[in-house]
Amino acid sequence: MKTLVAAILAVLVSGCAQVTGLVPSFWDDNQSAKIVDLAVAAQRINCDQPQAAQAQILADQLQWFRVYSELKGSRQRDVLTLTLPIEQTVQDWQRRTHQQPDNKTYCVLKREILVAQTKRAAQAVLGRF
Amino acid sequence: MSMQALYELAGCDRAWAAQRAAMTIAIVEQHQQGRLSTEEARELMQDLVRMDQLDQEADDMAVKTALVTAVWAVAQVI
Repeated sequence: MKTLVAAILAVLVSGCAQVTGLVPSFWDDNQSAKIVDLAVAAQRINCDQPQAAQAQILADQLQWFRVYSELKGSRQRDVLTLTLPIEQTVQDWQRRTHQQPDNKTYCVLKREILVAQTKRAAQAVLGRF
Repeated sequence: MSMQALYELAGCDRAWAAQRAAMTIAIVEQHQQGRLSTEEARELMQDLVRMDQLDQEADDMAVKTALVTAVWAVAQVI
């Protein structure tokens, strides 16, 4: 039985291509800290202040997280997939802040969405083994 | 989906669904009142669609983590 369990563990943590998709990424102190930073940055969005600079802060935090994850290796595919929607949301925000004057109503709703997205992503990243 | 259905979902007991419905209602209402352009409203709606994608990936990660944790725990007691 021990041999069977050991074999299962070995398969799960191996780089075997057929089961790579089944293996989640494991706990990482840097990713965990950075995803919390991202969630905090989203919560700190102040729609009474210029939006472009705030969008850039989120973009910078997210870029650090994704570049770190990419450099770390192939088993980080799950967190990269997880944060891609956030990247697209932030990019849309950045693009809009450069195309038109700030709209507070838009910002309030965008903030609500980003807070929800980053919270969900942070829960997933912090919940890893 | 009709606005009536969204209003009903906004009051349902599933927190995630209620939140999503409430956000959708807010976007639609702000657009109808002229506080959001059509492009802005569409972009925010797309953001909500992305939340579903994010939720799916997060759920997958949670299941896989639970599997690894369970196997590891079993290995400790065998």
